[in-house]
This record gives sequence, structure tokens and C-alpha cells, in this order.
Amino acid sequence: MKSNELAVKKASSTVFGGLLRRRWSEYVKYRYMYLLVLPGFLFFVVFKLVPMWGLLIAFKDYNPIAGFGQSEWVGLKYFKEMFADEHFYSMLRNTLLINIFGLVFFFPLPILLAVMLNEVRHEMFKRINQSLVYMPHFLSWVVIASLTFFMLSVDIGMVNKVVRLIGLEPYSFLNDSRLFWGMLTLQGIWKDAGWGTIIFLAAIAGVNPERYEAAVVDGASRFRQIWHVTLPAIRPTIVVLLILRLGHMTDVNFEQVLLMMNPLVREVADVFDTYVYNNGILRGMYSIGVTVGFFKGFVGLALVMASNYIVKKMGHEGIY
Amino acid sequence: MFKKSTAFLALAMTLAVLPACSSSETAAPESGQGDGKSGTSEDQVFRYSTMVSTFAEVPDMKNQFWTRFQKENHLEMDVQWIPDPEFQTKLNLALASGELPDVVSAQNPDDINTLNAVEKGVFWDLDPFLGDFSKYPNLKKNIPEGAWKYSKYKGKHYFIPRARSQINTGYLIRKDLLDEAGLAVPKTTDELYNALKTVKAKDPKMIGMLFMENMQSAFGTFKPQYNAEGGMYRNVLSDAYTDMIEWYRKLYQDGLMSPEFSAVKGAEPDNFFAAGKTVFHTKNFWHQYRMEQENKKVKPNAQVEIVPFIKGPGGNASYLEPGFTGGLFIPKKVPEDKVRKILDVFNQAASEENSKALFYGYEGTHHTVEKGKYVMTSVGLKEIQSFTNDPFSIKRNEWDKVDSPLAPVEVDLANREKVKVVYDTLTVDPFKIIRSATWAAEWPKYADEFETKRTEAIMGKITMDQYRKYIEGLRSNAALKKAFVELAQSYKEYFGG
Repeated sequence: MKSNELAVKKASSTVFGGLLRRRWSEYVKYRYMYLLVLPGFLFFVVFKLVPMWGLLIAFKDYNPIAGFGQSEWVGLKYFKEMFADEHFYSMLRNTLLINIFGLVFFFPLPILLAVMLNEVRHEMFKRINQSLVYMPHFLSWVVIASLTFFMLSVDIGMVNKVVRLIGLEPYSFLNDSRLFWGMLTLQGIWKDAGWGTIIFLAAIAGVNPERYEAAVVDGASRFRQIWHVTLPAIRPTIVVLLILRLGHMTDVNFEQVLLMMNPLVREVADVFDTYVYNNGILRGMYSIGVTVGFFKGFVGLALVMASNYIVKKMGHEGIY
Repeated sequence: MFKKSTAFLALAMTLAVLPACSSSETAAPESGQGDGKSGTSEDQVFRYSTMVSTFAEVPDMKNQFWTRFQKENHLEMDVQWIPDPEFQTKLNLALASGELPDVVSAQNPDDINTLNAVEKGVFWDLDPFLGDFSKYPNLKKNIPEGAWKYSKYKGKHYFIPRARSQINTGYLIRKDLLDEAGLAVPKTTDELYNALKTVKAKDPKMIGMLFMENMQSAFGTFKPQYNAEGGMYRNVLSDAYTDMIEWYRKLYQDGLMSPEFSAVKGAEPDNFFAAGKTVFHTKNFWHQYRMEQENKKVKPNAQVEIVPFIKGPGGNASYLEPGFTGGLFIPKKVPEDKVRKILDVFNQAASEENSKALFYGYEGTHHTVEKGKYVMTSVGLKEIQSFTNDPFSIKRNEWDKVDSPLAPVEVDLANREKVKVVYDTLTVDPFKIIRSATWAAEWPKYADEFETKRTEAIMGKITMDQYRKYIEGLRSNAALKKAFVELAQSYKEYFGG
């Protein structure tokens, strides 16, 4: 009995030991690969994983002067407060709708633009256009907000000048809360649609030319080639980006909203990020800020996991 | 945002755990007993660190100005210049981690986080050190009395006020348009309304004015209004403020304001006036000359005139500055000896000579004097900025905000004459001075909605009755009521009665 036990133990230890040794030798074998991964790995540990401790602030009455250790535990107090706040639901609505606008109108555009750019045969023309559509990405939101003001203002706006010229009453676009989400989306498209093509263009560049040749032999027109060769080839890229995009469904570009906000559109412009700014920074209530942040992160995670699951069910490759 | 904020907080937190509490280790100092300091030899360099806001590029501490200034004053300053929008965040982080520099030069000493730190005893009460100011004559002489009076917190000086001139903001009007309409420069709110109306009738493209909150004192917001419990309403909730809203509402109805006045933000109001879009504007007085030049580009005979103040049914607008902006805090972790030395440095920096250097740089290198006016050289323009003196509190020229660096000296002198009257007609805005922790914590919850209601009331989207009812609701809000009591106490502390 005893010897038997010992044998098992020995066996298991050797099995375990063997596994460890094999692992180790693999680590040694691929050491340069691991070295290559190390900076990225450290980045995630230091800047993404370790700061997760900060989430505990959501469960504490955090006082920066007393410090983290001295702050009192308050359990779910701030979560209860958050869900009881009627403001919360209007923010949730605004945040989600702004993102749904983005998802529906913004997300497909870089794909379309990338395909269009790819079809341009004149190399010079293509390159010039590519550079042109990238450019707005490098403008800051402050500049874009001013440009919007110069275009749409009642008093000095270009659009309203034209409207006056054709004899109509000028219209206050900036005051109209019904136009606010659309305006944010348009600004986003103007700024970043071009930039978004980069990743799709790279994916398209990776398509084996033989596929197009085969399609031509089969008598496919240009549109057929796009439909049956280009788009399927970049489908995995689209899926991955879509899932990642869903992870940001509770994020809204804070700067953009803050710059475009005015008292008359506030009702549709208040989002989580402005709330965090108002409470966390202006009122110094870190715990509420972190609680909302926690909630946002949680929703994002849930959306990523759900969409990843669905995508996999549909037979595509997910992000993990 | 989420990841950023958690990262920031986590960092703050990890830093906070290490030095736990390093504050309140030393007892209140015995003033006058600092014997060791008087004997310090002249050539010994004093080293200290400070954090200051910058409103432009980070100044190079090795440039000609700072090199000479530090050398002449035997200083070795370790200055963290922090872009102003990030200053409070950096300060909060430093407060959280206990890694404060020897001096914090805060732009906004009333920030809730800073006040919390004061409450927690993070900073020295400087009164015992300053004593009767016999050792710091320059601080006494060159910082306005009002600044010392209004910079107290709970009766104590936790920071040295950074002196500023009391005359600052006023009004500018397009005199050429008034002349064309045969009108005099308006002196009252009624005259202003009529003037804008007449000008608008002649030239429908003009915008009369945008929303300027500083008109409020003309309607009497500076006179305290109390509720039944003896609490004092904050200005925005006073009857006088509502009267101002009603006045604007009339302006709006008559088309004298832009329909988008609430969306014209940041530098846009200035641009509107500079481009000849608006008739009436509020700005530091010294902009009169620049604004006239700008307007002349659009209309060669344009004239911009200073309106020193506007009289209304309840008082005069706008207001005098309390005599300081921001303040210099010294954290408790700085030993008493060093506190005294730092105060010596402040005293030294507030001398005539140093004040001039910190404001205009050194003659020859940074400026030349022509016809009694300082003309900045290219080095001066690069090295000397409006915030160069912010690490200290210096003697300020009372006409700082009246004299234009662009204008000939005659214009400056004429403007001084025009503006002088405000010393007699305007008062300090009490709401820039009185404090209530409850108000600071609670009001942000309602501020956005208030702004929306205010805008809607002016635009006629809601009736004045609805607006009044809304204000009444805020007045009976339990948390704000507590703030009113605190405000009444604070008012009494600074202004008596």
C-alpha cells in the first residue's frame, strides 16, 4: 500500500517534473521570441493589469489625502447611488445612441473607402487621395470644433451665408438637439474615416492576385471581383475590428462632446465621460468617477464576449 | 477614459500608500526665533522646488532671464512648469502621493481638492511665520491690503496671495456706430438697451451683445439676499440675477443677441467683437486699443470706446478684482527653517527691482524704455510672459490691465483717466471670495441644468414664471440650503454684517 502510494507520488512528480523541464527547454529554445514579446507583455502588466487595483476605489469612500489604505470601505454604496440617479439613464441612452450612430454610419465607411481606393488604377491619383483622406485625422478636436462653428454658426457660418444668399431664413444647427448626434457622427467620419482605411488597405494588399486572375478567367466583372474576392478576403479583419469596436460602445470621445456641447443640447450630449469629468475631477469625488468607469468597462467586456461568442457560432474566427 | 482614469488613480494610490502620512509632524512655529537664518552668507545659494502653471510653452530655466534672476538672488529654483489645464490634476496627484514641492503656486486656491488638503493640514498656516510682517516689508507693502484680507481661509493665511491689480475687466463699445446713430456712450442698462436697439435698427446685420454674466451686479447681485433661515443665496439664485435674466430676455426678444449666444464659446466672443460683429463687449480694458485696430481692418473709421462701468437698477457692473489671483502654498513637510527662508525669498522677489524684472525682464536684454513705455525686445517677448512672475507675488502696476503693450503712451494715459472712476463706482465681487464646501460639492450637480434653464429663459423657450419656479426649487433644496448657511457665515467673515 505504502509503496504503491510512493510510486504514484514518484510517478506524478516525474511527470510533473518532466513537463516542467520540457516547458523550460522550450522557453530556452524560443528565448528570442519571448524576448520579443516581453516589452508588450510588460506594457500590459504595468499599464493595464496593475491599475485594475484602482477599481477597488469604487467600493471605498476614496479620499486622496487619507490615501487608499485609510479610505473607508463602503461596499456597493456608489453603485446604488449610480443606478438610482435618473441622470444615469439619460447618459446611458446618449452614450449608447451616439455609439450606435457611429456603428451604423461610421463603421462601414472606411471599408467602402478602402475598397474604392483599392480600385483606383492610377497610382499617383490613389496615393494623393490616400494622403488627403488621412489628413483630418491629425487635426485636434479643438480645430474640428472651430471648423464646425465656422461652417454652421448662424452669425458667421458658411452654410448659413449660402442659405441667406438663396433667400431662406438662416438656421441654428448648433442649437438643435435633434441634429447633435448626427453632427458628432459626421465630424467623426470626416476626421477618421480615411485613417480607418489603413488597416483594410493592408488587408486587401495581402490578397493573393491569383484569386483575381481566377475570377477574371471566370468572367467576373469588377463588382463581382469586389464582392467575391476582396470582401471575403478582408472579412476576418472586419469581424475583429467590429468586436473591438463593440468593446468601446460605452466610450464616447469626451473632448469632442465637451467642445460641441452647449446648454441647449446638453440633454442629448451628457455622456458617461462628461459625468466622470464633472464628478471625479470637478467635484473631487473619485469613487463615483471610478464606479461609472467600472460600469463602462464591464459593459464593454460583456459586449466583446457576447459578440465574440456570436461570431464564433457563425463560423468566423473571433479575437480569442 | 475608463482605462486612463483607473490607471491614474491606481498610480495615485500606489504612491499614496508608501509615504502614508508625512504631514502634521511639526507643531506651530515660534515666530521670531529663527536665529540661524539671519547669518546666511550672501553668496550661499538657496535651493527650493516649486510647481507653477504655464499658459504657453514651458519656460526654459536656463534662458537669459532666469539665469540672471537666480544668480542675482542667490537662488537655485527647481520649477515644475505645468500646462495650466493639467495643473490641478498634477497637484491632486502630488497631494495624493505626498510628493509636494516646497512651494505650490496654485492658480485656483479655492479648488475643492486644494481646500480639502488645507482642511487636512497639508499646508502651513503662514500667519505665525509672517507675524507683524516686520521681516517681510515688501510683502506687506506691495501686496494690496484687500488681497491679504480676502485670501484668508477660516481666518488664516494658508497661502500668500499673488498680487494683481484691482482694475481688470470692463466693457468696450463701438463708438462709431453710436455716433452714426447720434447716441452718447451708454451709462446705464436702459441706455445700453436703447443704444443696441437703435444701432440694430440701422444695421440689422449687427449683433448687439452676447451673454455676459458680469452684468449681474448692475441688477444688485452683490447685495446679499437671505432666506428665512438666515442663509445667503449664491448670486445665481438671487432675485437680482433673475432680474438680469429678464433684461437679457428682452434683448433677445428684440433680436439684439445672437440666437446662438450660448454656443459662442472660448475665444469666439472676442473674435466676434474684433471682426465687427457685436456692438458691445466685455474684456480687460487694455484690449480697447487692439480691438479698435482689429475693427479698423473691417471698417476703417471704426472706433472702440471704453465703458468703465454700467449702472443698473441694483448697482454697477462689473467689479473690482480682490487684488490677487492664485496663491503660494507651503506644505507642512517643509521644515520651519526652510519656510522662513522661502518667505525671505518671496519678500525679496516682491521688491521694486525684482518685481520690475519679473514683469518686464531686464533693461537692455528684455526691454528698452521709450517715452515712458516699456518696449519689449524680441528676447523679452520670448522670455517674459504674463505668468513669468507666478512663482512669486510681486508688486503690480495698478494699470496692468489698462495699459496696452501695443498702444502709444498717450492712449494708455487717456484710458487710465477714463477707467479711474471704477475705484469709486465698483466693488469686489463677494462671490469670488466667500466659500462654502457644501456649495462647491453640491452645485456641480445642478450647474448644467441651471445653465440650460437660464439659456431657455433668455431665449423665451420657457416663461419667466417657469424659470422663477425652477430657481425656487433650487432655493428649497435641502443640500443647497446648508450651503446658504455656510455662505452667510463666510460673507460675515470677510465683509462683516
